Amino acid sequence: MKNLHYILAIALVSSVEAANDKQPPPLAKDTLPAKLDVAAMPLGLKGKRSVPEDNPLTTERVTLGRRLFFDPVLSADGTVACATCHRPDHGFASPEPIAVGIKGLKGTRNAPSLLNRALGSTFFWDGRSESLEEQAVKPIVNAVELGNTYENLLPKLQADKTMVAAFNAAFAKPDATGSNTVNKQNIGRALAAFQRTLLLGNSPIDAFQMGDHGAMTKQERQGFWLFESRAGCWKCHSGVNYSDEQFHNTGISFGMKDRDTGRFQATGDNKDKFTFKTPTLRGVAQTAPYMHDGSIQTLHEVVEFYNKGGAPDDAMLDSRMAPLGLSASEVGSLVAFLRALSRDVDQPTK
Amino acid sequence: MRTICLLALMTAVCPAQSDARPEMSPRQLASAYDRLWQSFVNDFKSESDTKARLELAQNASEAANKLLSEHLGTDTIRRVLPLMSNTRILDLESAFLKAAREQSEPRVKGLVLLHFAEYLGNNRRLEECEVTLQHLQKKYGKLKFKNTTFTAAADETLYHFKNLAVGCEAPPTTGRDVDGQVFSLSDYEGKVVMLRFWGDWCPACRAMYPYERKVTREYRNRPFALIGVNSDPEKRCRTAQKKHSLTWRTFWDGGDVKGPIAHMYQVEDWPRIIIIDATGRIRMNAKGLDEAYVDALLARLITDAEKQDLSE
Repeated sequence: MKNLHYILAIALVSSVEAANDKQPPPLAKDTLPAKLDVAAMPLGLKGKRSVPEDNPLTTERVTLGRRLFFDPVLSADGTVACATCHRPDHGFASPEPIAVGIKGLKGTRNAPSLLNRALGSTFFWDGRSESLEEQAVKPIVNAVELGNTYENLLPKLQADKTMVAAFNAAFAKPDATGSNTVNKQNIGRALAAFQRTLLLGNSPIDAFQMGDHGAMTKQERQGFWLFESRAGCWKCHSGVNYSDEQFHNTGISFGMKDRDTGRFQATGDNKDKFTFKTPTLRGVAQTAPYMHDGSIQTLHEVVEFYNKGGAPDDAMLDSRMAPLGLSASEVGSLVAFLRALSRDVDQPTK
Repeated sequence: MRTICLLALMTAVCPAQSDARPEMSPRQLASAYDRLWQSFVNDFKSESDTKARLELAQNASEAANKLLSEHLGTDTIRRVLPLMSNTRILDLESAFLKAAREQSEPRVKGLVLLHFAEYLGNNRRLEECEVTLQHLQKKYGKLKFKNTTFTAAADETLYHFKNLAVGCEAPPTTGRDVDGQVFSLSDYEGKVVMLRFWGDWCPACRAMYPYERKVTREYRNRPFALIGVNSDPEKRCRTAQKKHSLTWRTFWDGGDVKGPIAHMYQVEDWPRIIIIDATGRIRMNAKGLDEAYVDALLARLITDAEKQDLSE
């Protein structure tokens, strides 16, 4: 099975290599506040973050995770970091429709936003990981992402004294057996801890729901009313993070050759064919382009896509999908609401 | 044990020499009946065995019929009829029929029939309810009842049980909100809806604001929507929403208490609260707010709604 994956990966690499002899995208800078408040929970998300018992959210782990997140040492040739595709200035998503990794290699899907993953329960577009810890170690060894191996990476990290000190501060010191804290599991833990601090809430809708009637404009309010009623968005984009963490076929890339089978790749179950995880809508205005293949450029076009019922001819379409009959002004209201979901009322708007 | 309780209750309300038929005031009879009913409800709730429940109901029915047949007279009947019509499960048929037979005044006979029909409706015996109301209209229809006639009252009662009672599908409801947008109750299918008839003019409605703010926050982003039906002039409605943090959607029903939606839901007393489940069925239709009851009902219905498969 592993071999099969390997062969597939090779095949994938060689098929895209010819088209991509470009350089990787430039490294993203760490523009986050110097000090991250590990305990901070924005309005609207309170009490919803889940932290596993064996990976407590400590400042040391978050700090180490942050360092690793922005450090290209994680990639095979030291050119690509997590932040390359999950850009802090782009809602921790990528402006490229399809993520571009090491040596300019193109992946297969749009890099999803990392905002509010602390509220998630399945990871990757196809949900093949069940925890952030499990997820975070995979892109490092994905041939078209960071393209590395742990055999190559761990000695490099272990040779860096400041890195070892950061690992030791974050995790228990080496025990009598001499086991090292710089290992794959702790890399996953640190990256997961850091990601659990990437939260967006305190948006106009949160202030509104808590009783501030003036927090949303009339248009945003109308968009919200539509969202939770006739437009049916709430049926998948549910809960405080506006995602059910489930998998649905909305008809994206219907009719295309070699259509991405989505969750089917993780489960092998036919009913999961072409389904993808519902992404959060918090921060969505920052993360264009949209959908798992980055095929839609603007929020307006996304709402129009749903307004026509996705791909009505797709026999495997999720049955929640149906033409909505929204007027142009109603589409505009929904877009206004989505934008309102994407800002923090206490932060200056960009 | 329970039978003994009931018997004890019976002896308490009709002392030893029952032949003497001591006179009971309307209040005394009403409270005796209410005690009997409450005691039955408590016993019934704590019993889960179907056969035992049936026995409880039979015993309580007998006790109720005995109490009523001994004390239901011209003085007491008006006070006790509403209690009887709201009684569930217990078989009060003979008590109603006896009262209808024995009362001599036609208007009182009409009153008995109307309450009997309500009793049948409340127990989801719709066909018998309808037949009783037809009989009422035929025999006493032209007689005055409240500000109108028994004919009109019977029509309203039948409409209620066919459209607005617990178990009915909520009637198609469309209106506009204060922003002028038209919307319908059916837009919220899949969600539990608390339909709330209110006006800022009405002190009892204003007293509910804190509770409404509470449920809106508590159930935000879950399959629940609080939807108002407002009876204020538009400007007052808007001002109240801002001033009192009423951040839920409301139909604006034309500016007074006689709006089309209030009329359709037969709302005469404000506030009225109607709770509709995720499939569009009415699960509560009540005048006031019993917070503990509503809390429990909402929690249950919303949890059910979350379990349903929305793809169907």
